[in-house]
Amino acid sequence: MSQVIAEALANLLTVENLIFVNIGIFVGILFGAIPGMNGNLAITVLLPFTFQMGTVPALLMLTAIFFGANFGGSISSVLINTPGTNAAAATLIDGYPMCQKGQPRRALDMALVASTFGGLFSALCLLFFAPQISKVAIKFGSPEYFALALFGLSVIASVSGKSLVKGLISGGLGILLATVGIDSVSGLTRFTFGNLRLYNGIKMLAVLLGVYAVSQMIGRINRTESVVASELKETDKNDRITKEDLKNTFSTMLKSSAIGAFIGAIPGTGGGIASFIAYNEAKRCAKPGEAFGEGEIKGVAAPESANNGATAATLIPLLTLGIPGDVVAATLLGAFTMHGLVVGPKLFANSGPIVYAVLIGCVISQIIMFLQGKYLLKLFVRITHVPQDLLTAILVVICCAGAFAIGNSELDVYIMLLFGAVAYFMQKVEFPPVPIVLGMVLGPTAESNLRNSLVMSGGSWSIFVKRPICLAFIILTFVLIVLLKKGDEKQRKATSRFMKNEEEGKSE
Amino acid sequence: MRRKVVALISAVVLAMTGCGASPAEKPAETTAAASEKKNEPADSKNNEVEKTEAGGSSFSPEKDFNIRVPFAAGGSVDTIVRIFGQGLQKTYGNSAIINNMPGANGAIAAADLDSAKTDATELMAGGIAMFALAPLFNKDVNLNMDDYQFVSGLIEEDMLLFVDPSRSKIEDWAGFQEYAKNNRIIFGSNTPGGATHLLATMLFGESGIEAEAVTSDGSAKDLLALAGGNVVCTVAPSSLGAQYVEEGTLLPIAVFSEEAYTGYDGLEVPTVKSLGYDIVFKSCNFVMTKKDVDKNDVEAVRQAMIDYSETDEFKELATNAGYTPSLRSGEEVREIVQNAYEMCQGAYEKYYAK
Repeated sequence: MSQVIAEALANLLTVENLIFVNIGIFVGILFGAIPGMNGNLAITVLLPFTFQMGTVPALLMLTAIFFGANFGGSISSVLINTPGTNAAAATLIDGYPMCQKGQPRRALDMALVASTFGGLFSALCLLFFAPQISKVAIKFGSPEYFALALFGLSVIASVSGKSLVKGLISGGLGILLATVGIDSVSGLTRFTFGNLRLYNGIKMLAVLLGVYAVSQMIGRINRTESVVASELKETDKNDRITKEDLKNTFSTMLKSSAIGAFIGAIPGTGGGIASFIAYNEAKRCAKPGEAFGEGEIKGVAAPESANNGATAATLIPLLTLGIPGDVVAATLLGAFTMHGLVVGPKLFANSGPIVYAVLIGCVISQIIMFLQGKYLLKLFVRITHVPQDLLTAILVVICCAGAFAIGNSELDVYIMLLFGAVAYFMQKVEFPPVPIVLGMVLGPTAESNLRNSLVMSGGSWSIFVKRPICLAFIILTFVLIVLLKKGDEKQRKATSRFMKNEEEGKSE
Repeated sequence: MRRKVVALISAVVLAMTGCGASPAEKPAETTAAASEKKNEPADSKNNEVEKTEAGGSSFSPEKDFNIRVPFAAGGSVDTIVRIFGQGLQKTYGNSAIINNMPGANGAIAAADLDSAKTDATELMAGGIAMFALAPLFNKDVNLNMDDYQFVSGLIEEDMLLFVDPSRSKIEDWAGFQEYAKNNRIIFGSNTPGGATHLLATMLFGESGIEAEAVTSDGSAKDLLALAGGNVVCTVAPSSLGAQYVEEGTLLPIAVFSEEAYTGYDGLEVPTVKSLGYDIVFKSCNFVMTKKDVDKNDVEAVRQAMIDYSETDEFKELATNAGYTPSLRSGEEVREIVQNAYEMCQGAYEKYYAK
């Protein structure tokens, strides 16, 4: 083993590798930060260029894009209330309110620190425990996936805002939207209306752009520049993350990173589910005075640690079982194959030095991401200084191009515009948009695995209580819902007490 | 307010105009770009240097190659197409653009090809299922192989039936039949309309075994479900099962090809046909173009692919990707697809149509 690591380090520690990791992180952050662009697009575009490169630098660059894009997604979430990736959808719940309060840099700093923390945690898990974790992951069958999806859907209770009923309706709409396309169990088409483009279903990214970006732009039509600007408070002079913030969020980051790494390691899942579950958990543990949904810094730390915690962990099922956790990992699978690494149970035995070089490189990538992020954020944060009229017009064009780029199809642009309009009216009647995303992400997993589980059990629902992992998730779901409800009431009372005391303190 | 509405709509229209350039218009753009290049002596000279006459043909593409792949980036077909794309680029000096257009069993990519210029640079990778299965299972998919010209074969893979002997104690087909007498057979496969579902349904139907499918979106997941004890067996391509077989987790007990499979060390997997069931199928991916493209140009493209497959560069890339080229002629590919179509049609009527 030590010889393999020594060979890996010899493969890894070159100037060339350092340059390509830097390029990868930079490209990834840029693609992640632009609405509609994503890491997958960046990897696909750069894949042919890696044909002529050595295996290690090529794979380091491509995995670095993956990590960079995941962090980059949070930038647009925080600054323009539009998630660059679906994994960053949970970040905007508190990230954008922080920006509105005049703390965009503090929110982005937190996102960067949390992303690096989660990424490092995940990369170390991948480095030291990949084969062991994959043995647990292999135990996941349809019933376990269903239970996990159910657990994820329970987060709707946490992100519904004032009305749970409205949250459930939004979540139901998301689940319904996810049924469009070919049914993954029967093979029949549903709600496609004869349109071939709908056979693959409604694209998540098009809906995300519509629900978050377009609805916002429509909302700005009847507001003047000064009104919009007044909603964004002047940036604080002390708009930076403090040691106190780091101290307060450390346990949240640690727990969220572990959640991210665990969920990411399960084949076929990804950062999107992990970030919502981590957000839910952070909210459940909220202390008095922490107002989640209104610009709470832990609301940024939790999803960002989790979605980056899932990145390297997603490579565990990819490398050890050959099963990609998400679309980006699927493209990476092609890159690994292209460069002679046959992913699967024997990968570590057959290609140890190269694999370990890439894995140790994943740890280094996180550090480089932190360093680059530190300097790039200064530039990104200037987006808040761009006049709103101009920013809105630019965003419309970027969003249309981004939606088109999803599948080279105009239909995705129409879908984006349609959902923009729908979300605009939903917001008018205070329907929360986040549950739509959750429903769309988790609906298909829940549905197909529920039906497959019932096939496995011959129609008996007892399968969900007979399997230990599955039972544990179902119990956890109910326990969390109850705790969340209790915690919500408790927190509301404690927060009002806290605010009262604060006001009294001020008046004295 | 009115100005803002107008500005917003203008931005959308502008963006849509940019996005909405129909595929048919694209060749015109690239042709224009090509003619611009002709006016630049230095560039055209460079191009001349890089161009070679593939197979002695005079085919000289006027624009970039546009190769549609009806699968997501990262899959085996996508990877192989990218390698050959690089070969075409080197041979002719024109870029090869790979467009991933997944969905509707290839019908979306095929529709894009239909709307493109009739030219040997407009290509598409495809698989048997798009002609043999998709039109049977989806009434909106009207793909007919007679509307296209097959350029070359690309990948062929044997499809095998895998079991997990450590859990089910099944070691051969006879053992499988015995097991089925006392146990429910749950098999892992893709959705109805996919090749692995069809092959399993046919085999169990012919052998009188009642079985139900647990579906997934890929054979790698089916193999994992088998290794995890969630299904009793699964049909999957030979390459995906290789590592499981090598480490002794899974065992192939039958192959759907014409001949016994000997690709795994120390194993000779019997054919389904030798077990008494007339089911012969091999997965086949190919490159195709529009029907009316000049046959000489098509042959030149195939020859360029063959020539590139003999280079050291290709051999290294192919070895890395674990790929064995199967560059059959267009006619041979047509025959394979035709046979598969007939088999699938019979199976569809017998097992699915009711």
